[in-house]
Amino acid sequence: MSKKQKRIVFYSSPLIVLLLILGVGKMKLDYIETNAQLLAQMGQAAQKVLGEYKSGVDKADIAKVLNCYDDKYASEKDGFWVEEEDLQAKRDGVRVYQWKLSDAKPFGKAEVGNQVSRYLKTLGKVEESKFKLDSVEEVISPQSYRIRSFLWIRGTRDAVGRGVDGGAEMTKASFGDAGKPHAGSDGKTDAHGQEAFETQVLFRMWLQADGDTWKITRQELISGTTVTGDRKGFTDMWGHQSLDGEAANGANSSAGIDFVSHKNPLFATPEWEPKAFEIIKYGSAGVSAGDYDNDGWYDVFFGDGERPRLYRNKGDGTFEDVTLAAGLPERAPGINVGVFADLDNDGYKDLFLGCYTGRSRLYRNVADQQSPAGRKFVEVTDGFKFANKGDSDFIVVAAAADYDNDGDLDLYVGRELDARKNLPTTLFYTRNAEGNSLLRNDGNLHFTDVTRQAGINETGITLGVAWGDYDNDGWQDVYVANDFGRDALLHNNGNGTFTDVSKQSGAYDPGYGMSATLGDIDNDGDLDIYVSDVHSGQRWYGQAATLYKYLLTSVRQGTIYDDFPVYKEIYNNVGGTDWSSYGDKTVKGNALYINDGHGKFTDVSEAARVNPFGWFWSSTMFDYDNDGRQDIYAANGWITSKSTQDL
Amino acid sequence: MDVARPTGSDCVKDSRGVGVADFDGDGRLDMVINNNNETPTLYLNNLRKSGNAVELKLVGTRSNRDAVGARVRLTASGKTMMRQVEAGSGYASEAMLPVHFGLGNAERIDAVEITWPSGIQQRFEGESLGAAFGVNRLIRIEEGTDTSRGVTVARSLRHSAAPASGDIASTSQTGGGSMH
Repeated sequence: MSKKQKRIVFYSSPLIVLLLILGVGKMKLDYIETNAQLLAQMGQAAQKVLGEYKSGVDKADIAKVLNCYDDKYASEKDGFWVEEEDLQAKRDGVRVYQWKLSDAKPFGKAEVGNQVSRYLKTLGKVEESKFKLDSVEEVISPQSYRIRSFLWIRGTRDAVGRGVDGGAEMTKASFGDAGKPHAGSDGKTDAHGQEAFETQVLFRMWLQADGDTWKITRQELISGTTVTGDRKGFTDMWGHQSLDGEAANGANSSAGIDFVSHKNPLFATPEWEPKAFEIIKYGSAGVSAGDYDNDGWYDVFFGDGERPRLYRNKGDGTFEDVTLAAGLPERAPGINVGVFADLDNDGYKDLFLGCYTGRSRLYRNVADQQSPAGRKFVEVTDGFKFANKGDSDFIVVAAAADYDNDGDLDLYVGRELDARKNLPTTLFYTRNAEGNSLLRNDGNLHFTDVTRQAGINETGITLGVAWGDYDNDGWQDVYVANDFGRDALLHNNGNGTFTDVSKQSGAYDPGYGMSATLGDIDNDGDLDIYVSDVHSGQRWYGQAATLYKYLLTSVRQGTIYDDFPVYKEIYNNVGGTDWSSYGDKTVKGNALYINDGHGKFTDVSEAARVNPFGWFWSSTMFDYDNDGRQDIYAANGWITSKSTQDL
Repeated sequence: MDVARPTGSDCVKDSRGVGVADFDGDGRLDMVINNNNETPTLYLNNLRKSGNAVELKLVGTRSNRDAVGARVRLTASGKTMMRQVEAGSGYASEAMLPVHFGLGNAERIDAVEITWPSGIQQRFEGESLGAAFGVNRLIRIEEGTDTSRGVTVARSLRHSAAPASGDIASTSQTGGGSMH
């Protein structure tokens, strides 16, 4: 045994032992490589088929869609697609339908053609669609495999036969019936009703090679949902002069909010060019709502790459830009986050501004008769000093809570990495960001960096921090959402220290965390956790076969030694049974963790269907329809696109 | 269930932060979204059949003044809901500090229990609810007053047409107003 191999065994975790066992013979190694190669080839082939299918759907080109099906198509469990209304989910202007099969029976090519063309005829105007490969479930032979695929369509369609507000109640509507008034319909409002729809369907498909092309030889409906509505629940105020304004009346703002977000101009300078991690340029800022002048109306602070802005809500349905008038700088590059919080307990909210490219700032809210509403912000220049002081703060997120229960608010700030020189260490377990800080409030707007004493060494790329007492012990805990790696739930021990309980609490999220929010989503009296992540269209590739190959390559290239501590940590966190699905888990999307009341969490994301495809940034829980149940809003942005190959 | 599109809140811009608050003070929560390299989106909640609501502004005396970390359990129509006061969450974002409860068809509040960060617990029910606790109001509650003396109505949450007394004529025959 070579010295290197001895070192491996010496430091061995079961993961490495498993690798060695797998690697005993050349044949096994080949097997790993072949499997990974097959997965890649088949995934790409499937994406091509689904891409063709999608383009047929977009153009309502039935022939093009049918061309994706093999002449020998034969499906045991098939039938016509039917939408069944979920009456429980019926809301103001919103209807929800579950997809079911009617007349279930075996289908051949002719029947599947009938099934698909009936459906396409009901589609109306397709505005956007995606048909994605969710996973390769089984490689049956080099010429045959089974996948899960995900169809997503949004558009506007004829409401005929499905029942619209004011029309007849219907609980079932077959696509085959579209175009004819349904029995029992009064026909009054249905005839010309249009409704916005969004459809998400999960299929299981069997693909087979037919020469150079692949065709669908069998398919099953796993689940499908269509939501429809009148799109009148929320009004985009852009172009409105005031919140009371009846209709768009040409204002170049949203009721006075004329902010435009800008990229950080420093990134274009030699000093700040993000040479190592370029995409940081697109990670623009957050927004905060808070009543800084105590007039009972919520004002808005926009973080920004260049010109952060404060808008005062005047209470008459309009906002005004008071940035300068309220004492904030006209220009302050890199202010990514603002936190309104009464940090000196004087009854008025002070303001903490966290900065990435430069120093963060603290402002005291003071009386000033010359300023709007008699309040302004005055900077406190010696309010805090970070222990790990570099040439910049690298702060992107922050939140306040009283972690030591001494009656004043402390601050936890989350940092990015230094994009000028660092790349994420691994794509799925990055720990080389600049490290978060806990600032203890010592009164009179003076803070002490107690990160070290608190035992928090959180060095993920932190894009979300959320405080809350998840275990009901009276002490505020904090959830940290980390990009390119695993999140952390930090338990407040009540003695000034924190313990990372991600694993034992069950809230271990390996995803590309981009925000977190705590709230009681199931009304059982405890805090649940929602984390926004990335649900990748390339999730299928992160399967075990790829991971084996990745590990094999790193053993061959020797990089396993560098990565080893990380693997060991991953193994410690995910345990012995499912580590091989780690790649899959990292890109499965947003996660909802339900608290059992004792601080133990269960991930219900898939069942609750709260992990749509996309890159999700801010997420928040609130009751938008005042029905007593918290809803989730998750903001999507970045790379989600029309291509089947997007991230 | 993703209802962003049918409710008209499916902002197609490249979104980042989201701030939630009742910007027009009507008891329905609105959103402001910071979009990358773009104008922001201010979504005003205009849901026609929205349920009743109540917003509670907590003022700490022994606890931090903003009462961040406080938990409120509110009971109406036999259902109890819990909300916490927080200052910052999501991605670089912050919502309004007062806690907001959707009440569906409920026309009255039956009980309010607050656990303050200081450990003080206050429970209002029956007679101790006093006159201030009513639906469709912004209510200010000061820590540590064991009667309803520290509880005051800051504002009515409906548009000017609604009476401030809290005897709100039902504006909400809600389709989704039942609580589960």
